[in-house]
Amino acid sequence: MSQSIDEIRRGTGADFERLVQLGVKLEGKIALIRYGAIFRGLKVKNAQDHGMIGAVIFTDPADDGNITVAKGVKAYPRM
Amino acid sequence: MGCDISGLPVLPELHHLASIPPGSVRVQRDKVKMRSQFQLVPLLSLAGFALACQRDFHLEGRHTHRPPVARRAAEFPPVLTPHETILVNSFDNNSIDNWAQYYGHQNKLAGLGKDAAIWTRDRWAANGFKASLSEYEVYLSYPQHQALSIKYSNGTSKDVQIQEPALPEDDVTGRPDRVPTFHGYSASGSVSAEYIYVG
Repeated sequence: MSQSIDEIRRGTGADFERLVQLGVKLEGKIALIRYGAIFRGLKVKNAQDHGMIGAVIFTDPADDGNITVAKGVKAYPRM
Repeated sequence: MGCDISGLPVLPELHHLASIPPGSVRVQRDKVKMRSQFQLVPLLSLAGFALACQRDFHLEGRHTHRPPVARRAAEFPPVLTPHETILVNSFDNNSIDNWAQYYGHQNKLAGLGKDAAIWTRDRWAANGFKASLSEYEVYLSYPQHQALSIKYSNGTSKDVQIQEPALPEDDVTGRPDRVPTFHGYSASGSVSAEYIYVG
């Protein structure tokens, strides 16, 4: 199964495995993870399963796509 | 110093992350209160309650066998069946606006908001439906405190804003009982460590 670039890099199992393969030490660290692609609870579980002690999940402004002030959309509550 | 992720290509949309100087973050994890309790919930749940949940961001298109709206609307204005006529005539933009206003001002976190459940039951009952509240046991956690701060390698630290600012135009945003972000069921406590971007 192929995945688009937006479906990965969001704390999936594959993302964690990639860090492991790159030799990044995950134990005892805090994970910073973008929302999206998979259920948020699995992101936390993935972090826990790799010995991490915390997780911060955030909404990346990039997920706004073209719905941005820079693209001429007025910010809430004036949409 | 954060972990070395120099082997990872940086996506264009992640550039703003590069503005985070190397350092570590301190996470005050949600101090949660676990409760096993009986709670009244509406028998007929409405979309308003479903909205209480943070939606996950799914990128895949929804799978459906319904034809596109353009193909379904063979004729315009559409000819309504008797049941559809009753449905269309049962509410209007004004009532939808009122209901949205009501639900928008309720605490809809699971296990809370009994008033809204009663109100919903009464709306169904007022429209001729036999409606009641049922009771069942749930296992939930509620947030008590949360904080996030980043500590830079030069020793300084900064609190990270984790709540959106209140808007004067939207009174719901400034409610004292508004629900903050929290990880449901997470353990209570405070952790401090280097951060690793997992992506």
